[in-house]
Amino acid sequence: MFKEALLNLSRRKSRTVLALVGIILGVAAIITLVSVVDGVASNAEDYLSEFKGISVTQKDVVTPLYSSFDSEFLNKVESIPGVNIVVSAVVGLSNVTEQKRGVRFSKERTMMQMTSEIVSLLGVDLKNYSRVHGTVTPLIGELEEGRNLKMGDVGKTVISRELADNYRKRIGNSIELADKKFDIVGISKSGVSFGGMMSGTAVVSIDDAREMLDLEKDKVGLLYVEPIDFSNTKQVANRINFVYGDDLEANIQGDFLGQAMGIFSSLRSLVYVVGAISAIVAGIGILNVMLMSVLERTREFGTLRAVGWLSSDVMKMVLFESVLLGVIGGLLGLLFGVFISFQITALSGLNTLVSFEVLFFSFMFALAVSVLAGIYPAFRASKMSVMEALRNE
Amino acid sequence: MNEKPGEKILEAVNVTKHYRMGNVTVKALDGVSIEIKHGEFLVIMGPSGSGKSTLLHLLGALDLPSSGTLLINGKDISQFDDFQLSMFRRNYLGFIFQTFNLVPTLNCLENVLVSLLPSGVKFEDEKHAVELLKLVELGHRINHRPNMLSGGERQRVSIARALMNDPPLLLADEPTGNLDSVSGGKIMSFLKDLNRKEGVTILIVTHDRDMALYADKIINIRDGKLLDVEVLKDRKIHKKHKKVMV
Ligand SMILES: Nc1ncnc2c1ncn2[C@@H]1O[C@H](COP(=O)(O)OP(=O)(O)OP(=O)(O)O)[C@@H](O)[C@H]1O
Ligand SMILES: [Mg+2]
Repeated sequence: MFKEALLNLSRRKSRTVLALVGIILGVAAIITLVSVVDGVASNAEDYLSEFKGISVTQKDVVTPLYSSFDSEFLNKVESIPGVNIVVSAVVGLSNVTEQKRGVRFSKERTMMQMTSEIVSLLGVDLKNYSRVHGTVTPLIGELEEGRNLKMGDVGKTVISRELADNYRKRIGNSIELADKKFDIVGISKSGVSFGGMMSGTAVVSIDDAREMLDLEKDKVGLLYVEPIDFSNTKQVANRINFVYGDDLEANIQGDFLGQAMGIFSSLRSLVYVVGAISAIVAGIGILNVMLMSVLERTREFGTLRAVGWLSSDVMKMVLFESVLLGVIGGLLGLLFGVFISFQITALSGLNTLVSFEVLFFSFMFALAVSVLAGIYPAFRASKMSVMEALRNE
Repeated sequence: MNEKPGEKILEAVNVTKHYRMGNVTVKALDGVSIEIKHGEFLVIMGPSGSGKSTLLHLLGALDLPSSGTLLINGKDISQFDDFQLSMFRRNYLGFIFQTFNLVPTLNCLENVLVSLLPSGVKFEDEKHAVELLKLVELGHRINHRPNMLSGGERQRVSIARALMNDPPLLLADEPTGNLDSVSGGKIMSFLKDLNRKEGVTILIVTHDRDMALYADKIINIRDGKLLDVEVLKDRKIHKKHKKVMV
């Protein structure tokens, strides 16, 4: 009987191939779609988890660019219970004052080129900087290469990947910002840039930044606050707002967190919705291909029962066929799906995440659908008299 | 079970078969009662559409009557369960369909052996199947699949399949309908031998009066009703088939 099942599969080549293609595409579609959405969701999750402290700016400013307040607030905020570290910083815009390498200088510089020279500048007070756990502002992403700034790093900078790539800079090179030469000690993943026009961000010491931005020594633009216990972040932010609410505004980084959690959980549910939709579509595809032959097979099952097969013999044969199809198609589908996901990442840079759950689920799903679709005609035929099955058109 | 020659192997009691097609009800069989004894060689004749195939399917337990009773060796087939029906069809009955009903994915040899596939095919079975294919002059077509065969060749494969398990009962729906008179004649005399020498009970549907002359009796059917039974030979039946129904 197993031989018959194998014969059926191998001799009905076109149908077997069609069914396999149906299963493979179904499984691959589920894996690809879910892995893309999952990748985006987990990217967002990673990104948000970097910003875990509190940022304090002047009250009612649109962006930290316009924020400026007395530096004595540093000590005041530091003395609030629950506060661990406070780093003061200034934020501003600067520009790269050297030619892009490989681009020939011409008088007609385009708007694009000019704006691409503007960078977001973050000047941090290096006194406490090396003690922080999180990321000081959304301006800077995680460090990719090199090191962070430390005490005494005057004339040194950490630039974003974007900026480094634009000007073909590596660690150890220098870059000219506002006619001042900086040694590049580290390269970070790019963070959020204001307006998206800037070619990147640069982190320098607060003293360098004040000089470049022409800011007063006793003013700061931003305080980055880390609580002793990160689970108390919200309470600490509330305390700062309660005590200094007239002048300052403390926000959990990325205001983020609140909204962020919202975005994050809706991304998660998007994964499930996309997964469910692709499963339905894939399921219909597989069912369609498998059921195409219901009528033809119903007649065949009638013949088998007419010569003395038990209904259960017919069922066993079909089950064997379907499981074989489901397993082969499912496995090929897994490979194909994972391959496509990798290709998407390789070609578009879009992060994809192929989780074990989606592999397991899509495989089991394909198996279940192909078994159901295979068994259905056999079950139907077993409910008919032999002649009814044989007469089936 | 004592299955002596001359006792009833099949019996239809007031059997009807209706087909509903929308509002119209086709009475394919309308109150037919017949009995067939062990060792008999019978022929059913009647015009096209008179219900011959329908009757044969009911007698072979392949279809259910709308009303009436069918008995096999005195047992009501409506009481048979799936296992009993399957045993009956596999070991006791050889059925030759008017439309052949071969399995398209299997070659001739596998089609002849198809009833044995669930339990496993032994070497002797395969040898027997090849002999049967040679007998119906298809020794050279063993590995061909039905779609490569002519109508007459398919018919002969289905004859070989019906004979595979040495059934004591053979029901054949126009088994020579697609054959020329020479091959048809060969098949008929082979069947007659089976009947005489092995004691196989045979019931054949045919249009062909020449073929009918091989039989002991002719059952004439018109419009789903039994018209009459012509007795051609009043033969005393001695031979008993070696197999009994379990
Ligand atoms: N599935 C069906 N649905 C409706 N009517 C049917 C069906 N099968 C058979 N019939 C009708 O029942 C009647 C008897 O059919 P049957 O096949 O028994 O005839 P037959 O005597 O074998 O004819 P032939 O010599 O042409 O094979 C015919 O009128 C036919 O149209
Ligand atoms: Mg007929």
